[in-house]
Amino acid sequence: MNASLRLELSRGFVIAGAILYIPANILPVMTMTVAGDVEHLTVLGGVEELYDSGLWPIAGVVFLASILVPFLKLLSLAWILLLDGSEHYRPHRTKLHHMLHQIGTWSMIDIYLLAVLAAVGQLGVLASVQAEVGGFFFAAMLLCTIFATDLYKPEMIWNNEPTGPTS
Amino acid sequence: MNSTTENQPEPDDNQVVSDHGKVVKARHRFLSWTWLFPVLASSAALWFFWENWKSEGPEIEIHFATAPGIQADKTPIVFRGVTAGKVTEVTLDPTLKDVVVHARLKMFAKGLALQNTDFWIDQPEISLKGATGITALIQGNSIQARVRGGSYATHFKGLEKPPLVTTENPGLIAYLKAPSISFVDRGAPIYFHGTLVGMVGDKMVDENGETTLIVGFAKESAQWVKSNSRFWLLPATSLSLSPRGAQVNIAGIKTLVEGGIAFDQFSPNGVEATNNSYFTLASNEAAAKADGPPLQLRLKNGRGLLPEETRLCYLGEPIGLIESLHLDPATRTVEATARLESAYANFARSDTTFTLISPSVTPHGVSGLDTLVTGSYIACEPGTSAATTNRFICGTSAGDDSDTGDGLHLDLTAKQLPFLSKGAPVYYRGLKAGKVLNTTLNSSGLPKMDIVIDPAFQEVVCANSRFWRVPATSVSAASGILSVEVQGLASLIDGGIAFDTFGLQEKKTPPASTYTLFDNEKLAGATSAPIRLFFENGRGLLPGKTEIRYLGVPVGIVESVTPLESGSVEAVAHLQPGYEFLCRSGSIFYLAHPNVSLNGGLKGIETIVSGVYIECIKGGGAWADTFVGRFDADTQLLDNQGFEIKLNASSTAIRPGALVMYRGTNVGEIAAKTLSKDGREVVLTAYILPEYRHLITDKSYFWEGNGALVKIGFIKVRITAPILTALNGQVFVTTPDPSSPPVAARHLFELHHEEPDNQP
Repeated sequence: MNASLRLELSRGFVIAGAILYIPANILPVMTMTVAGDVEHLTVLGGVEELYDSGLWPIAGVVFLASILVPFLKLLSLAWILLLDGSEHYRPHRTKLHHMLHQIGTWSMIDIYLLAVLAAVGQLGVLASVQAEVGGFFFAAMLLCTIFATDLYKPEMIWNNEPTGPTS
Repeated sequence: MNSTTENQPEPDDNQVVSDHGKVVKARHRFLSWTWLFPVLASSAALWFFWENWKSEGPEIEIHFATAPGIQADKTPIVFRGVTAGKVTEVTLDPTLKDVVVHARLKMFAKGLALQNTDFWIDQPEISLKGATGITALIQGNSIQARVRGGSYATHFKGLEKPPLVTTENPGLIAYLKAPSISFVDRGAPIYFHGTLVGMVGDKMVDENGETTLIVGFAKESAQWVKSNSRFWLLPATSLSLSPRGAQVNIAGIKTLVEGGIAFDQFSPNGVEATNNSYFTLASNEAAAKADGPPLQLRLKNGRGLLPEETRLCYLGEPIGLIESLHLDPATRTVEATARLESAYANFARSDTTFTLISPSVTPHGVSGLDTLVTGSYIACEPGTSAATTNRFICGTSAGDDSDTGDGLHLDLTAKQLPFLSKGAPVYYRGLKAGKVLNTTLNSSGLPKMDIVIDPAFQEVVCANSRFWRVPATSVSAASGILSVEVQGLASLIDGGIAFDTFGLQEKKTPPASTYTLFDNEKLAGATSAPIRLFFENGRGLLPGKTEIRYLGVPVGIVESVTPLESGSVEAVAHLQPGYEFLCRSGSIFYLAHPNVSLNGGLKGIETIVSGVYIECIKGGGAWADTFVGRFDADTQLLDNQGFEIKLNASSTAIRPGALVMYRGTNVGEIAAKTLSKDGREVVLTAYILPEYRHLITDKSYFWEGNGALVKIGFIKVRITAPILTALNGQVFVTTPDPSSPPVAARHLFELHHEEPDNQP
């Protein structure tokens, strides 16, 4: 796979991720039924719920991990990919890319948590947790960012010529 | 891709122009890869939103007076158990009078948005009957819907309460009216032949002030509701008294606490009822059954009549009911409106008779007796006349007594007549032989009772027949047993009269002769000539009660007890036929009292329950009719004419009946305790059994063994226990030298308090 294809695919994944970011956040990721009380929770709704119940440190962590970090990831990836071939901020971009790669290891933790909750939280009528479609969009969005980060190699930042179309 | 173009240096423009083919290629590749995943992602998202949007139906608005538990984004709209939409917003209308619930229906439930659709809030309700809306309890309240057609609409007025039939197939709705309906309320069951077929929907008061129930029937049961169906209330739990006994009726476990309604049709030719028909709700089944045309019954006295309770009976079977009672002050009568069951409606003929059978004062035979438990009823005797009417005069059962005049009329007199009402029965050996007609005073001012004996029993009335009163209920105590005697059910209420002939029957009774009415059977049975007994004391003697017994068998009775001026009591007694041989000069009559002694056992214990009686010991002398009665004579001693001695002491607690002991053996008994003539000493009369007579010599030493002697070491303590003195005590005797000559009868000994020092 040559550099140009990598760049194109990477850009595509970022755009796809940005598109998926919208349904991932507005659709409920899970439905919690506690004693007959049905609650459809979006990611932001979950944060709000945690904050309302006084668990603001956890709310902060979830907000960071599930909303801010994916958003910043998409933003920084877009920035890196836009500056492809440019000589500006090459060290910064490399460092940022390295960071994104590191974060990427942990990015599926939300999905993992959701899977555990949905699997464990089955107490029949009393309480149950069900994964909703928002979770799939969320997972797809995260996958997009991971693929985008992985396809765009850090050495491509240092290519003097913009990774143009190749034969 | 602008940036790429911008970043290209200016001189390259020519290159780009010259390298024409590359640009085309790049454009081609650019389209092929970069947009692949964004297109996939956006189409997935778009597809999802499109699907979502496609399943969204119209938005509707429902107005409720209150909307408890309704939450935006949570509360579902449920139709036939399926979520058909969801509440999106809950607001108040500007006037604050209504809650406006906005809801989004699902596309498949678009058909709910029709003008006549009913929406109501389903909430859990826990009542005595049980809990309803259990699902609401677990899943939260929901808005339920029922479709009933109409054109498309999005604005609805929600129902205040869940409708009776929650599906759109309402079956049959009917209205039941009654002046007042006490306990049945919403949700009460409706039974047809014991099967639950419907439910009470609502209870309200209509514009005429009548209570109206709206009832609904399931569609499959609606066919049973006919135009001539009669509805009645099933009481929650009813206790009914009938000749069969007490019955507790529970129609069903649901009706246990709040009752229900039952219906049936009692006449043929009903057609299926139409929707919204009106029916009358009767208060009980009998009232519902009596659906014939109303009849007017005129009564002199409405005592015992209860509207909607009192039955009309024919041959003992209920055929109708008194519906209402009105007082008619003008004619001083009571007018009862009655209805017959439609099957008996043809009884309303001009010569049909109605008679009020009431239980109260006239125990006229056994026929009226059942009304004691069931209450009065009106007996109906249908006539044969072709003419029909609906106005009747109702007689009373007491009226038919007057016609029974045939039979043997007799007069009974007594110093005091028992209270016996007209119609009280006269028995002959347990058979009803006649009845009491009336009671008056005769010419000499004594009360007189007219009775009539049925012709069949005329033969057994003799000149020497005896009449006695049968008590309402008598409890008699024989020795050891108590027997309760009830002479027939009718006499249970207020007694009656019985008669029999004792001894030889003397035939040929002059009619309308006068007899004496005795108080009881024993008095009546004791027919002998009077004998007179004189007692020092009449304690326990009861005229008409105290018996005379011979060898323990009752043979006569004391008729009267009169204290005489001379200081004794004269008891006049009669003996039963066949025991006249007791009237001999040697006969002994003595009063038997209850007597408890430590060694002698219990004597006359039966007198504790039966009262004292006079025991008679046959004498061998000439005929006599006057005797001196005794107290407490020991039959054995009297028979054997034991050896009599006297003991005197300054005072003693020894009482008659105490035993005389010689070396621990009973040799005699103390028979009497009197004071000496000067009153300074007590004289005890003792009878010594003849076989021990030789033991009593003038050396004999008597002492009273009253109480217990306790020896503790050297100290002797005599305990005079009241319990022991209450028993008769004991007299001890010892004779140091039995060979000395015996004493003569009535020898006087000293009774010592101490035992002799040199007792052998």
